Amino acid sequence: MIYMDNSATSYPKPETVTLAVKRALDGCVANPGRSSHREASRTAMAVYRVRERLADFVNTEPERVVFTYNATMALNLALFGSLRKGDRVLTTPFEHNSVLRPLYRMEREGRITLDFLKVSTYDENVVCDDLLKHLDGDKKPTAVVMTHTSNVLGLRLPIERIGAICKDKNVFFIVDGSQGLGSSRIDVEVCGIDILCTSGHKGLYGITGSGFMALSRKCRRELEPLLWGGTGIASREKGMPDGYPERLEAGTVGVVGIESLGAGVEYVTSVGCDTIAEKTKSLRKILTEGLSVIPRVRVYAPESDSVSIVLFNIDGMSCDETAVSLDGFDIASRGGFHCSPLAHSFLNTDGAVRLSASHFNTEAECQAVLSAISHITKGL
Amino acid sequence: MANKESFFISLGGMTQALRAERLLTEKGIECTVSKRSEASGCVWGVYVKGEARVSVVSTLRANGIGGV
Repeated sequence: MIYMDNSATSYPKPETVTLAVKRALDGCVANPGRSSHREASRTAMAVYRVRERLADFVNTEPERVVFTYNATMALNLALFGSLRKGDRVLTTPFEHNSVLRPLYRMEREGRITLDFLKVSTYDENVVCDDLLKHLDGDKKPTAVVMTHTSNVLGLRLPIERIGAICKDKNVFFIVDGSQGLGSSRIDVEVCGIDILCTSGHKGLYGITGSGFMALSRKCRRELEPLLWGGTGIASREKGMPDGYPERLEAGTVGVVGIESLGAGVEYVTSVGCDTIAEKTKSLRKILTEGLSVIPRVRVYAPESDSVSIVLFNIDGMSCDETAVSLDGFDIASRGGFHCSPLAHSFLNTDGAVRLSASHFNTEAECQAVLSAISHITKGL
Repeated sequence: MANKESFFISLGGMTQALRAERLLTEKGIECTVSKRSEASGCVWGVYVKGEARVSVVSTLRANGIGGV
């Protein structure tokens, strides 16, 4: 199989991740943070080491790393936990439904007002200028929620510039790093981010069921829990304890997923985010240039400074038919709206096919994909 | 000179306690993560052996490990 669906979840995983999963199953057998026996302590220390590694990776403190089971849970925790009644929230059309649906719900309930920033696929000044325009208006935004990298185009948004504006104007800033982390190293201090949310199983190479939320040291708001339950401490209190991460981590954490995430981040760090981005960008270039000369193929926003994603359609074929045809060649792609309906509206598609490479893919695999697409178009 | 003693410092959650243990061990201070039952329920902290309490507490505070 040629796997080109890494934006959904990455495959293959580094061997060290597979080994970490086995090690966790064999060696982290107790519940961390509950009992104080030797096995529980061993597991707790293993979890803590990953917390340290992630904190170092995004530049915060270990206790400000909150483990979740995916990016959706991290984003729900960040959005429902930090946004207050009366907040005026700005977001972008490039957001995933894990951002949009919580925001729509809060808007529907009258808790927030919601507006969208203008974006461009080739000019990052557009989104920055539009934010400044909103800040000069009567209804100044109080929070910005934005993806680091679009899961539809692979396009990076100017997070550092937006963060500087938010910092200067005291606007709360939440970032979805799910598609960016791995090929980018996001420093929450440098980027002026209050809360960074991500899955663990994409560019960080952990297994599905892993994710985390990181609060910066200077996070301007305290978070309310999303879940209430056992924490191993303050059990006689009716509410959740005040301290992070326990306040936000009700219930037993997913130790195996956490261990896989730790190994994944160690792998990414050892290879280097820049090296990974360079490789995936070169693969994208091969795919984009190859697709552009195949008749009937339309590539969306080929000019964008995308990290790894190629979005395309074949005239006369639905995106789903194309994805199924590619599957016939043993090529894994994804057709549809990629849970980001507004990005597709922005690009004026009725769904499209996404090819998303990881740094494990090869040039030969890209050529095989191009050959398969060429073959499919000839059959029309 | 402050008196040296053995004592428990309550830190709330296990994560804070592990961070404290890591820091104190790096500084050559003998300690172990430990759990105690208190009025509010259980609490994690570090049990420190043969040190001046005031010095350990200020070391933790200086490194942002709090509630002590």
